[in-house]
Amino acid sequence: MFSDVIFIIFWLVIVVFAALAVFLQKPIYNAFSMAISIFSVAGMYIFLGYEFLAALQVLVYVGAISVAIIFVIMLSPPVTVKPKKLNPFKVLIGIVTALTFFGLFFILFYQKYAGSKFGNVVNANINEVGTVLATKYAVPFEIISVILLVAILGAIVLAKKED
Amino acid sequence: MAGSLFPYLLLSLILISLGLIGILVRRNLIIMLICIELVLNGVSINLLALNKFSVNGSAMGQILAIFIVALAAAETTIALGLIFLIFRHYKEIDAEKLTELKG
Repeated sequence: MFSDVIFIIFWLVIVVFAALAVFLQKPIYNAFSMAISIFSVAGMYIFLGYEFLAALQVLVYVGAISVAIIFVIMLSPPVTVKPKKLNPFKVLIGIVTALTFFGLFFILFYQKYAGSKFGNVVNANINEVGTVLATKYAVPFEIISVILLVAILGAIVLAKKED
Repeated sequence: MAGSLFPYLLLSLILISLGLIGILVRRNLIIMLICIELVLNGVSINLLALNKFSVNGSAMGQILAIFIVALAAAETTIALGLIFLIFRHYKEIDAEKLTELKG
């Protein structure tokens, strides 16, 4: 019962702050709302029983990605933009597309999974994850590390001031 | 509530749809990047919930989620570098105004 209340609070915080992150007007507020929403997603991982991924989420998403976005917003010089008129036709198309996607998958999930409960599942612990990651999925793991390296170098080359 | 599957799927669906609306409607490049992060988080929740529900004790969902986190970090790095470059060059990060590549 108590854990249900906590679950609903986390669920609502994620949804409300995700909506704020999309619809607020100033980018710095959007970035902070996204940070709060993503921080609560780590709570969802705890509810599912994936503690390592929750820690990873807090470290990488909240600690690195959000901070990088906020950093870039704060580094850019201030510009005074007047709120622009959005093209209402494009807004309509965007909202209809997203709602169609939502409706279709909602019907699918509702028909297939409404009322499904998790059984007595023992999640793979971090030991197994590490073993599989270093043996069966060693090649994708190495490719990901090369991608990260290339991303770092690419960001430096892109942001370098040309003389 | 926390023991049933459907709330997690609904949450991931809401996050993906909100991100989709943001990518399609908002024209600020940084906000579009934020929306991409929301979509990736929704995908992670979906993967992990269905992994727990259907594949008993498999490590596959966690490995995919780790890959998603790493790719999101790489993508954010590149995107922020590009946004910074565009801002310095055009003094503008409105996606509607960046028409030079449109032909």
